Amino acid sequence: MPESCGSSWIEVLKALSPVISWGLIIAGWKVVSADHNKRERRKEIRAAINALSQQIRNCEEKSHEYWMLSEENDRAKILSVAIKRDLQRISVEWFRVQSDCKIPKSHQRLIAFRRSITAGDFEVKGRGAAADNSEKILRISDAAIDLIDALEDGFSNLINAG
Amino acid sequence: MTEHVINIASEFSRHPAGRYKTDGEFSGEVCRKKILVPALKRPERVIIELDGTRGYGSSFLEEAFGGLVREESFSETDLKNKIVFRSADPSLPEEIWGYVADAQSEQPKR
Repeated sequence: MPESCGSSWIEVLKALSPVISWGLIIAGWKVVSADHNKRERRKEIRAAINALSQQIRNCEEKSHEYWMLSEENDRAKILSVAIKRDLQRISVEWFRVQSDCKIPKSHQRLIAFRRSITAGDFEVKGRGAAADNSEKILRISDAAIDLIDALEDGFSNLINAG
Repeated sequence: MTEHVINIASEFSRHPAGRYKTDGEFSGEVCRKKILVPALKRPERVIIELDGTRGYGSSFLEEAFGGLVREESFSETDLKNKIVFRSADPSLPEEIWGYVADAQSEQPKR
């Protein structure tokens, strides 16, 4: 009796083995596919962060040039328009990356960056040129670094979260 | 409360620039005097749409909105009860309210 009971189990397992095999294959494929998708998503976010960091650095450079020219300089007028446009694009990209990454939903660093560049005498007649080591120039760089650091921290949090 | 909608790009300029009237016809001071103050004197709630311009400088925003408290005698509370911003960029209204709060804190206490 026990012998026939044992053999009936073997029969059942034999009958189910194709189903079990397929189940394992599908489960394995799902795990691999999810990992692959996660890796690809991280790559996309990394690329977006790199591009945004570059935009921030470009805007920082233009801002330094702008503030080191006096307001009546024609190049300064062109730069002021370009800077405002750049800041607008940086905002759009910032919010896109922020929703993908685990960056705190605070806008303070973005606002601080915009203010460091366009507050005070920005586009004001009679503004003189700033020295390359002036507080204004250093503050712009600090704000740019802070903004890029926030992006990098957000990406690290994303990686650490798994 | 009914609404009065102002779109800065279509009713003022797509290229707002500068702080004072002397900086140009699309400066923060001109925007404040020509667009914002008349709208705020109406009884309706004022909806300010910020989208559609080629970007704002902080000097423009500070003079236009911070100037409402500093130069036009509105209080921060009046403005918060009266103005609603619409913007695809949520950092802009936050920055503007920061200027209004700063201007209010610089006002002598009554």
